[in-house]
Amino acid sequence: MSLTQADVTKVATLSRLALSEEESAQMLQHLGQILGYFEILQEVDTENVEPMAHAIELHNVFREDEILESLPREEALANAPKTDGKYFLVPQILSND
Amino acid sequence: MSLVGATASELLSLMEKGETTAVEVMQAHLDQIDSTDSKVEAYLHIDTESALKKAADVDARRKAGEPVGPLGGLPVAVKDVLCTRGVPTTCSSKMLENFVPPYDATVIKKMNAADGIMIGKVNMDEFAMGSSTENSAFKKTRNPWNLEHSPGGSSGGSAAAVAAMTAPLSLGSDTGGSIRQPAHFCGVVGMKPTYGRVSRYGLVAFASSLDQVGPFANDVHGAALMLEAIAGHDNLDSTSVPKEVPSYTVSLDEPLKGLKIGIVKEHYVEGLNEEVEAAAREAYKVYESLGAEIVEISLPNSKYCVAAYYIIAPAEASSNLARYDGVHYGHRSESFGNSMIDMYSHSRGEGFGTEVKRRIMLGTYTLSAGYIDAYYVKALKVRRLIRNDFDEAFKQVDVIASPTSPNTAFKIGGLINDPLAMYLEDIYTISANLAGLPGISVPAGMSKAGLPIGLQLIAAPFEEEKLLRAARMLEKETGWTAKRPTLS
Amino acid sequence: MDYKVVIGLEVHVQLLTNTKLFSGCINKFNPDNPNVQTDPVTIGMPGTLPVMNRKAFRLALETALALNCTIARFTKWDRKQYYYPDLPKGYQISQYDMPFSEHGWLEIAIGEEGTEKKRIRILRAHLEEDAGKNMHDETGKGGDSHVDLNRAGTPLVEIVSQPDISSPAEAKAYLEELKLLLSYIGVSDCNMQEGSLRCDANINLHVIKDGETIPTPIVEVKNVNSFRNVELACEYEVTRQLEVFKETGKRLGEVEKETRGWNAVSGTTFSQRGKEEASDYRYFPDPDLVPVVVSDEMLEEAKANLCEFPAVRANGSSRSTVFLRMMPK
Repeated sequence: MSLTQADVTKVATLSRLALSEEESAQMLQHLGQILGYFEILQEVDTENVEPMAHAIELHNVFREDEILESLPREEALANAPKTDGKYFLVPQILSND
Repeated sequence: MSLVGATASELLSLMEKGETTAVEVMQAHLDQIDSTDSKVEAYLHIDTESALKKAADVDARRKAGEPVGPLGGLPVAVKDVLCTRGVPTTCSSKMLENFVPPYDATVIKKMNAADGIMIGKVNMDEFAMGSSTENSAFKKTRNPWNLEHSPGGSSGGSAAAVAAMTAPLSLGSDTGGSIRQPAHFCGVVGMKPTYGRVSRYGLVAFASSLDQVGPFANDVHGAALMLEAIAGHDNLDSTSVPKEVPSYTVSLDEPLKGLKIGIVKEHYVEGLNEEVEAAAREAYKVYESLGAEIVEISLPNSKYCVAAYYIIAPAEASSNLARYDGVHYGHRSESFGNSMIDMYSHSRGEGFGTEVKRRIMLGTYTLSAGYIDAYYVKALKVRRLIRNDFDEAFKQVDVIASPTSPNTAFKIGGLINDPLAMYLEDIYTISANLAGLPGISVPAGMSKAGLPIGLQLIAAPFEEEKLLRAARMLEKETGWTAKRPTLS
Repeated sequence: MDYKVVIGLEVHVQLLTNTKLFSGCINKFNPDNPNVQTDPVTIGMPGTLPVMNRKAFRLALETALALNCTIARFTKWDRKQYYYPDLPKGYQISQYDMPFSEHGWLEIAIGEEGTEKKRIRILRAHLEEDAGKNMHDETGKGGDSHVDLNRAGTPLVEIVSQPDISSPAEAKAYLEELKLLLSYIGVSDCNMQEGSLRCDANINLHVIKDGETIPTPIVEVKNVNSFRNVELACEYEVTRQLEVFKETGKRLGEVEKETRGWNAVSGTTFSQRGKEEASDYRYFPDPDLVPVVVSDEMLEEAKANLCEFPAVRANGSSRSTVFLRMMPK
């Protein structure tokens, strides 16, 4: 499973990361090396082993349906790069996004 | 007695006896920042006025005989990954350079309630990704024992702040060793609690199933005190475990009788520095002299932990960091084409540093269609096997001892262009995160070059008390935690 | 040319809770006062974590039981990852491979008199969070789009039917029956205008040609805003797809799945350009949430709540069968 520059481009798009040509080339080299290292896991027999997504075995954690205070709009928008005081603003969303 | 470099318990005792005040303690540490931080560069944000005001408030209450919390006005340096209401929280990233949270992390609330006072926010690897604190967008923190060397990472600022005597206590976060490795590099005590012991609410996520907040201190008692203040169940964190918090400080000085310490035969392999190994073996002898039994054990899957970790952590990170898209908060590019995709990609491309991008790419790749089973799901299965190994081991022993990391503090710039070599430095610390176990690094020696060496102890889930008591035994017997660097 | 119409509906219903699915932020329809129903969790601020609303899960259980679904005893939540400005975290917390319920059915009345009964099978129903709302500049001047997060995080049940619906009229009947049932048991007000019930339709034809049944490519029609329009959009698609088939002869699998929008003014559907990249949602279990194990008590409680509605209607409505079945013996 060797990584190609096309893979890097595809993953960069999926990750929404604009990479310079130089970054992209370095990414190919470093990711290739790291993915190569992961091959060591192929030695491990994991037949019938349950994946472990959590380090704890909790279940059924709920909160009650009780209303807490909302943020004032000003605070909700305070960290946004662009607003009109009411909405978060983003460039026109084109249909192909 | 100098107020800086004193331990939490020494300072508390002086304040309780009326021999000093919280304001004096705070001022002494602020002065220490003034005189040392231009060299160490641990701090990103200091709010002198607010810290002194809080200290004065504690003094007033103490004088009036009103209740004062267990942290009694002590200064605490806080890793800039913990959200602080009204105070910038940057994660050392350009992405969050201007982010000011409207809320406090649960650990910050608890620290405030215990009368710990935040003296400042400290540097880290960007979004806690790294082992050297070089991946900060703002500054390179230096090791107080040798300014040419790294303080470790990602909580390098938290470790360096304590080592440089600018705070007796600090908070960090540990996803794969990010508290323990810098503690080892900087000659301080650093502890990662059991997963679920401390609330993650308000801890900016790197890898949610591995992250834990934990304390640094200049002695084991300080770590116990700080952990006691921040631990406990939180309704705002579904993965926080509803289990009572023992009083770690109360039992701390009782030596453990019949202590069985496991040493892992797979650990002593090529790549382990001789001096680091020697210090660890010396520590095992100390424990033996204190009546402990050393038992050789095997963790057969330990050699797979780095690979499993560097699949799971970046996978979760790639998802956790998707929210930084320049819409609701964070950096937005000024120059992009006319589509949302461009806006996203440029904002993220500009806002994130190299290591963060690398891990987002890696995680996106291993979760993507066609690869998820071979990488992510496989790694989760190996994680189960690693946990099973520990479960078996803890049937035989109380704690597992090892070096914290294979080398002493490396030089700044030493590994920055070799990510894989940097990842392999985490070989001893990572498995505790994968298995959700508590771990501590306690000073256990010094290299010929004058760099600190730590010993790591790991215990079964929720056995923090045992871990602290075991670390305390070593501290009392060897006195390594009392060493302080000369910051000339 | 002889053909059969094949329709499957994906319906999203908002649950009537006081608060959002993962935080104590108020859940209320409020389009006129944007961004006042948020909190750090709703905005997806760094460091925030989700905690499941107990009532939302209970209402979801009631919904699934009313739809005759099998309830999974173990269920979990996954992250569905994509970028859109109304999705603050860059992922939606949803359910992928272990939905809390599957394999139900809803009975609808068909035929001229409406006296015949037909069961529409339900593939699955799962519990997820809603996104916020984007509003686009309609002036054509390319002004900024507006994002309102009041709705973000509202609990939703997604109900996916099997492709058992064989006419546009049946599609409408299914939606009407679903609305009656869910508003009757009080889990949702199912108001399509306010968006508390939303519907996407998957439509294709099975053309019978020379004794062979040929499925045509499936088209998804999104965001239709009334039951009548769902019916009209399906009718339009049937005609359109038949013509396309006559022209091109393309069958299922030979072209990519197309997504179309509905223009209520012109009464036509229009192609929404395919995404630049094939979507890859990279689902994985949300590490911030823990699984839910459905106990007997939880099931009994949900059933008991359904039985609180005493009026089993006498007019032969199919719903009565649901309640009769659930009444304690």
